Amino acid sequence: MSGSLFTLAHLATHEQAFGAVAQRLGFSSAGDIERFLFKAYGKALRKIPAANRPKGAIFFLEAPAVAGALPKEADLVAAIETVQRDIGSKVYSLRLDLAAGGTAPHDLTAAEKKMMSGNMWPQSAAQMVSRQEKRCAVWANGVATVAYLDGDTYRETVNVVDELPSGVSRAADLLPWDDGAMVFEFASHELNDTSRAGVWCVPEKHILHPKPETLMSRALGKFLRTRLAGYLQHADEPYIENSGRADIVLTLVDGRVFLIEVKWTGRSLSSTQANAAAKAILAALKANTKGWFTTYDDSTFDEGVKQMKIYFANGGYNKAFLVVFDCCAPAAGRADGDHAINLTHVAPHSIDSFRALRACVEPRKASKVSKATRP
Amino acid sequence: MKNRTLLVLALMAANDHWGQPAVLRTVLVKQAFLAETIRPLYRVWLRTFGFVRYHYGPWSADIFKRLDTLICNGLVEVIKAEHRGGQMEAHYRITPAGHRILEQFSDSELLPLASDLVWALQTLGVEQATTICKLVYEEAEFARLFAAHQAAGIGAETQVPLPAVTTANNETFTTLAILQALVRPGKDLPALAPRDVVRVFLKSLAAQLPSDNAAKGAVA
Repeated sequence: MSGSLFTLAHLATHEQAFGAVAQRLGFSSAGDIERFLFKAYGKALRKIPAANRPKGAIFFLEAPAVAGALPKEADLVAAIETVQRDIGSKVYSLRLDLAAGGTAPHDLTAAEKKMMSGNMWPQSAAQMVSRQEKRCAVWANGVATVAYLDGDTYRETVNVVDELPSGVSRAADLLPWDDGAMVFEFASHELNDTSRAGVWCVPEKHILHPKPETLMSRALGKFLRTRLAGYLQHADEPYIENSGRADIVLTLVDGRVFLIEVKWTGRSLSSTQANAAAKAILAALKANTKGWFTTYDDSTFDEGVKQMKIYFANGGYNKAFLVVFDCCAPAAGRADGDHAINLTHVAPHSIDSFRALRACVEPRKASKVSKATRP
Repeated sequence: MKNRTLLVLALMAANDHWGQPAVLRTVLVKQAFLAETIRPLYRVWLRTFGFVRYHYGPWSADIFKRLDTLICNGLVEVIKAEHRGGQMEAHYRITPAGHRILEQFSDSELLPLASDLVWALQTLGVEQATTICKLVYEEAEFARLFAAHQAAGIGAETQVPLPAVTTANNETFTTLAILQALVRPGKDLPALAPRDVVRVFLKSLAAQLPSDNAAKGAVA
């Protein structure tokens, strides 16, 4: 059979289990919730500028006053904007058809507000209130939603605006963060790009463009968005209070927040020589002319860890990762993997809260096969 | 009114009932195909439309004949017509007279079938012609036939009949039968309503859609 029995059994059991809960909550079926999300909520979102869409908002859903009824688009747009506007003070309950005004606010207590981070609710908060209140709670972030029934995840959707969101998950293309595979993949298939869009200035001599860490960090962020399993969002160069700017703060769908610091080892062209011709660069390299190149060696690991510790001390992160892209010329023993962290550099924090990874980069033109098979 | 005409009218009524009164011609054809596909769930054993594989999609000229009859009798109206890619595309809507006529057939299984199908499509966010086409192309027998025709070099212009869902060894029929067995009430689990069974079936089709990345890889 083209559709596996396993898939059928999974879908049927899922619907049966959640159908019972949905009916207990007054819905005719769990499909009512999905229909609201895709046919009403998703359409209303299209009318709201991206900047004004919910960002980590929570609202409850209740059965409609009239079976099968959905709200008017303008009313729902207003309701969504209200939910986002009052995110820090109220949690609203919406009937699927917005009957009787549609919204019943619950004023947040000081203790409840403490769960918020950056004026956003974490997904875990939506799950918790759904379980405590035994209701349908929706966590909304941009075009993504997660619907919880009685505290269990009923429907997790990355995009309620585009049609047919139920396609096979991209799991086959996605890589996990925890084992470092994501970073190694990025180093070996993205940073090796020797075209003008890449980080390499004179690839055959392993010379990088000036300030390559910015390019690396931004490119890694983009790569995470499309290839990371469990990706929710990331922020490039977020400001860390009293500490400066970290490179990336990554949030996964399971609620974990990681701090990522990007460094590199090897040789880059100095900013003052950014416009130099390749011939001149090679001549400067041969003559070892001062002021032409910036070099970093493995001491970068220690510096990076110390820097991460300062950011990490601000709290709110599950773990900090130092990612060092090794752009040196190939040498024996140079390989992808973990780099040992000096305990004294992260004290008083637990060493388990930090991890340093070395990802080797070898500049080369991508083959036609590679270009065709890699996204 | 024959089953076929009734099905078209029932689909138009269902779209209207679920807040989508204007139905595009292509969408109507694909909805009719899906209705024909799921009819065993409603114990409708008489075939509605016979479909052919033609220009990539399941197609039936008979649907347009029935539609013309409904329009001529004032039960359906054309609310918009436009040329798209050299072809005429039109939006249709059921009229109040169409709704009244349907009341006479309230005991027909085709009415809940059509209503449940349109509702289930909406729960998946399927509304546009391109999206419903994607879903339809995953129907097992159509997908198998389409692949075989491509391998054999049979052109898109050739009209090849698709087997009825109730023919022997039809994969979709088997899938529907398995699904019905799976959704029977369990120890702590209730039976699913027919429209939820339709929804699960459509989800199983959607689950076979290639991901965006896979599709890009295939193109490259």
